[in-house]
Formats: sequence, C-alpha cells, structure tokens
Amino acid sequence: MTPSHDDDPASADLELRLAAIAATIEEFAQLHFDVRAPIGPRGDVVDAVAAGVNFLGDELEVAYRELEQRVADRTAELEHMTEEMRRRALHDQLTGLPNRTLFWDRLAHRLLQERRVETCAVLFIDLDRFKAVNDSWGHATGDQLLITVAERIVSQLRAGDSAARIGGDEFLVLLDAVSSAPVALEIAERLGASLREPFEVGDLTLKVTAAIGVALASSDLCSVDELVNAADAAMYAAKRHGPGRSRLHECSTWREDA
Amino acid sequence: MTSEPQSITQGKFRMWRRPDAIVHLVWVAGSHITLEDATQATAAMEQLTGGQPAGLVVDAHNSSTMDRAARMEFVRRVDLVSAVALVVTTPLSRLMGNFFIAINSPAAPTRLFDDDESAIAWLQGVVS
Repeated sequence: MTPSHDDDPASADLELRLAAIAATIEEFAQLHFDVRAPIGPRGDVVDAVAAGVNFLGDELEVAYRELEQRVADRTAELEHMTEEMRRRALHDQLTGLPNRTLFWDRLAHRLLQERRVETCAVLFIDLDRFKAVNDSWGHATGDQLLITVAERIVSQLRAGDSAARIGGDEFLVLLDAVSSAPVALEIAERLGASLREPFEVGDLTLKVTAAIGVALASSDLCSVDELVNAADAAMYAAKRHGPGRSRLHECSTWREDA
Repeated sequence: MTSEPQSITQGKFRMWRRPDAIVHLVWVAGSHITLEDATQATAAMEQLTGGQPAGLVVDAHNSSTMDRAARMEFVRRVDLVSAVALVVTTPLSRLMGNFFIAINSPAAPTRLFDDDESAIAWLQGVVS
C-alpha cells in the first residue's frame, strides 16, 4: 500500500521538494544542464541538498563543456596532422611540388583514360651543371634555385598539366593532353626557353639550362614506368647534344586514330 | 584631501570597513548572487581598501545562493583579500561554503564560522 500524505501537508511538501531535486539529478545524469533544483527561503537541509546538487551541476556542466571542447580541439588537431602527413607523403618538402609517388599515381590514372583525339606526354627535366651551383654558392643557394625553378615550371603549365620533383635537380611534367609529338616537343622547348631566363636568388643572378626529354603515351609506351623511362632516355640523349636541349623519344609516334 | 569611504551599500549587499581594517560584507537575506553582484562586491572592496589585501568576513547567515560565475569572480579577485571568514548558520549556507572551499579552491585562507565574533577573531590573528 502506498503511503498517502493527504493528511500530512508537511510530508507532502517535503516529498515534492525532494522529487524536484531528484528530477534535477536525473536531468544532469542525461547531461542536460539547463535545469536547477528549486531552493526555498528556509535554508534547511533540503535546501542545502538542492543547493549542493545545483553546485555540482554547475561544475559538471563546466567540466563536460571543457571536455567536449578538448575532444573537438584534439580531433581538429589530429585531422590537421593527418592532412599534413598525407601532404608530406605526396609532396616534395623543398619545392612543395608533387613527389614521385603522387606523379606516378596521376600518370597511371591518366593512362587509364582513353581519349580518341589526344594523348598525354611526359617531360623529364634535368638541370645542366646544377652541381656547380651547389659547389660555387652553397646548398642554400642551390635549394633556393630549385624552388624558383619549380615555380617557373609551374607557371608554364597549362590547365590539367602537372609537375613533380623526383629528386635532386630532376623534375617531371605530365602534359595531360597533346595532339601530336611536335606539339609536345614545342611545349618542352618553350619550357626550356623559360628556364634559360636568369634567376634572381638573393643577391645573385643565376643562369641555368635544362635538358628535357619528351615521351608520348602510345601502344609502345603505355605504362607509367615505360613512359617515364622513355622520357628519361630522351633527356640523356638531349644532354649528349649539349646543354639546354629538348629531345623526343624515338617511340613517341602517337597519331590520332593510330 | 578626500577620505576613503567606510561603508558601501548596493542592491544585494552592504559592505563596510572596520577600524581594524577588516572588511565586513553582508548579503541581503535570501538573495541569489550573480556575476554582476560579485563584480559590484569586489569593486566595493577595492574602493574601501584602496586595493590593498584585507581580511574579509562574509555574513551568509541568511542563506544566500551564488552561481558559478559569481564564485569564480571571487576566486579570480584573490588579490583583494588576505583571508576570508564565511559565517554560516544554516545547512544551506554551510554546504555552499564547504563546496566553495573544496571545489573552487580559493587561494586565500578561507574558513567557515558559526558566528561573527569567532570569524573576526580568526581574521585578526591571520592578517595581523
């Protein structure tokens, strides 16, 4: 049998006050902090309990908000670090250009696309006598020159093309769409001409040239390795003819409808 | 030459500076103390003491409650007090005082007392 307080107003009042406190505690337990237990004017033990619950609710709310904020901050920090690690894994630290891994991935992806009226090409760029810059002016100057060279290469790219640094003074360029071997060679020569323009590095004015090998994707050069190796071979062939030359790989015979 | 005020009355409190340099704060009975009230009280204390740390006796006989922001304001302005005596005579004020000391950890020595006389005697011993 449930006790009744109909005939005991004091007990009924006490029960109501305690029920209000219990309801507040239940709200806190569900992490709802917009309620507070009512505190009467008496300042008695029940009011003390209500004030204590409110006090602890205040502290719990602050601790919970701080914890939430800390988790959010840490999550954002981890996301930023993950993104930064991903970027570092795929980019050259010095120039910020894509590295070998990312270039290989982009080229592989491009080779999977079949385009009837155009193909893609790879330019292999190697600076002539770059070691002399390092030996004469120091590695800091050499590094600064590489950064500037990278910027200039990028400035010459068309929409859809991309450049990478694969180490030392070696750069690769993916020409996303070329209609013929002469067009690819023309782009390479234009790039070579732009690199022949003087570079301002600190107080120095440096002049460099680059050997550029060109290879077009075709039925003979249809994998990433084949295409890059062909461009590399063409670059060495260009070097044999003197500084600042561009040369097309002999298998680069792609033609529309071939 | 201007003399410093000896007593300040605001909406929810009266505060005065005793001859022994102890400051006495009395909250209006049953008031709920908010950040605004706490800021007024600390400003009044600063005015009475010229910003010099002083002993403070807080009369909470009449069961005032205080929100967290107000408590943190008193904790923050520790530069104004050398010691605090809280006079508590109801279960509510005693619990609020105990929680304040245990949870908010005021930097200045803070103790609870049942009456003004023992509170002031303790403050006189601490701040002298």
